[in-house]
Amino acid sequence: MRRVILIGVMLILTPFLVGNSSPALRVMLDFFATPNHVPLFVAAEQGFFMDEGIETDILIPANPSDPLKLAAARTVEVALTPQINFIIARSAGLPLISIGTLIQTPLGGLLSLKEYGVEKLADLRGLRIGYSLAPLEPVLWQTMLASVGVTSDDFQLVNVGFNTVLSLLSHNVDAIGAFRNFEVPQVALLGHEPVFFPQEDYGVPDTCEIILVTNPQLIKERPETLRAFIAGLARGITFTKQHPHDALEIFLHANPELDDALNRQAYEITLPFYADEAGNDRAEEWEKMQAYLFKNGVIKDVCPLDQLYTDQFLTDS
Amino acid sequence: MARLIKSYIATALFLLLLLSLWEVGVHLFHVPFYILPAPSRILLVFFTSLPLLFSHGAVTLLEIGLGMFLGVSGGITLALIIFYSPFLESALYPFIITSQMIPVFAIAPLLVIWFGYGLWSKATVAALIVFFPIVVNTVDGLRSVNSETIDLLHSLRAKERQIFWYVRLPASLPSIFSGLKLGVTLSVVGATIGEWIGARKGLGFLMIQSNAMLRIDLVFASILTLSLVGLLLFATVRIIELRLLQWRRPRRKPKTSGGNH
Repeated sequence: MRRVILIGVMLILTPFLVGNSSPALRVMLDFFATPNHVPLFVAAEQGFFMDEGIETDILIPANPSDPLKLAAARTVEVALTPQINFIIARSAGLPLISIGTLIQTPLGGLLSLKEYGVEKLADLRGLRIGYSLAPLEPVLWQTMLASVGVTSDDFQLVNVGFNTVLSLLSHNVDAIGAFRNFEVPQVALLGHEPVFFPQEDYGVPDTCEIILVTNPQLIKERPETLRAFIAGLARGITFTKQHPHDALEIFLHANPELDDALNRQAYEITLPFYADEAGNDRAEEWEKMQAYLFKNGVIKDVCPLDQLYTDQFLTDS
Repeated sequence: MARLIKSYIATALFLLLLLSLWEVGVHLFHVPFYILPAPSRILLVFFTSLPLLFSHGAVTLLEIGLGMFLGVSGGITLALIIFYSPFLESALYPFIITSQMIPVFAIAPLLVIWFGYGLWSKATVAALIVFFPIVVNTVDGLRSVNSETIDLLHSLRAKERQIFWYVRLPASLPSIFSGLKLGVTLSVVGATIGEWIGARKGLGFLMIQSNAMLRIDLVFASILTLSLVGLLLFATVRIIELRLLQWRRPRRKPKTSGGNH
């Protein structure tokens, strides 16, 4: 009964949630605010978007799949997302296209601890690896281990939900999928010696950790707004690289609850990975990643590259 | 019986009305499938994914079964302790009630760390939710016995053990079954929460994974399966209840109209 009422309420609310547009450009983060987003906050706080003639509203998702859904439904104009998740959403049929890049390298990989006797990746043979989401993560970790000659029969995959670090530290698993700029300094701060294996060093194609996506309809309707957003973000990135210390203070001023040792360390690690310019033009990388996901059964069909991303907003630099 | 069938017809008609509104609404307002899929699409996915839903549902059902066993046996034991020992009642009852103020969501991640990622952590989460209505209803049931009856039995020199088996337990059964019906419904929620925190199989796991893959229709198909499992379990408890309580004079059975829960 309660389910029926719930569905009724959702049905009534849905038309209001979908498809109205306000003058401010609504930008939804891929996750909570983290140091990954410093250039975006810098651009907003320093008035770079204002200089370009647009107002922005930075939103935090309630659920990791929200940014893609809401951008497709045009409840937000721009969403931040990992490139891989975007390719998956695209293959699921969501009307989306990538218009730029915030972090141009992968940040993921496998994290273990020295105290578990792991020094090289092949040491994970016969051990347990924790992951959060199937089928993507198992595919990535299988690729990595296969590159050092460990087949999927030789290790065990355990779903540990989103509590990855706790499951690693309590030794419920021997390694977890992790980010080099977050979980690695996190376990180090807790007094453990992290051993991290970057995914791109072990056979996983190169990818962008955070890209910017929008509904293709918006490119037709408001190209100047999008161009202004990408230009403002590019200035944010440039400012961050030139004044890393000031940029961090601006970010922490906007997000005071994040001012701790972990986030400061995470920022230091992230600094070299912000995109060179906020546009993106890396056809080969897109092609390889999409082919890789298709080959491993993560996506069911491939999409022409010009429907995946556009470089029309690329700034001249 | 005729009244029973009539009430089912009413339920079915209302359900049909809601589903039609939903279906029409989705098409009329062009609601995208990744925000709210139409019922026709959900049913289609439900039937084409039956083997998948079945294999995940079996795991969830096993967790629910184990959780129910732990929750019910623990709950009844606690209720007996509380009933027979006023000292332990004042010691335990506040904690039992406080335990329900803690959101299971908050402690589920820890339970998973303590009990591992297998069957036991989910069964524990389910048991933690299930035991409360069992305890409360069993205690109420045990207390429901008319004190004059007990006085009479005492004057006949009945032993407390005899009073328990011949009077108290039968008298508290209806109340215990009320607790069981609540508990069995909640156990579905408990097992699902346990699976959200970390699992390799199960309908809760399937929901999380499908949501991440933006297969929202499969999320709804999992919800549908979960509801069916819940209804099935509820009906099972109801059938056992009717069988077991046949000795009660049928016309005094509290007969609320129909089974539309």
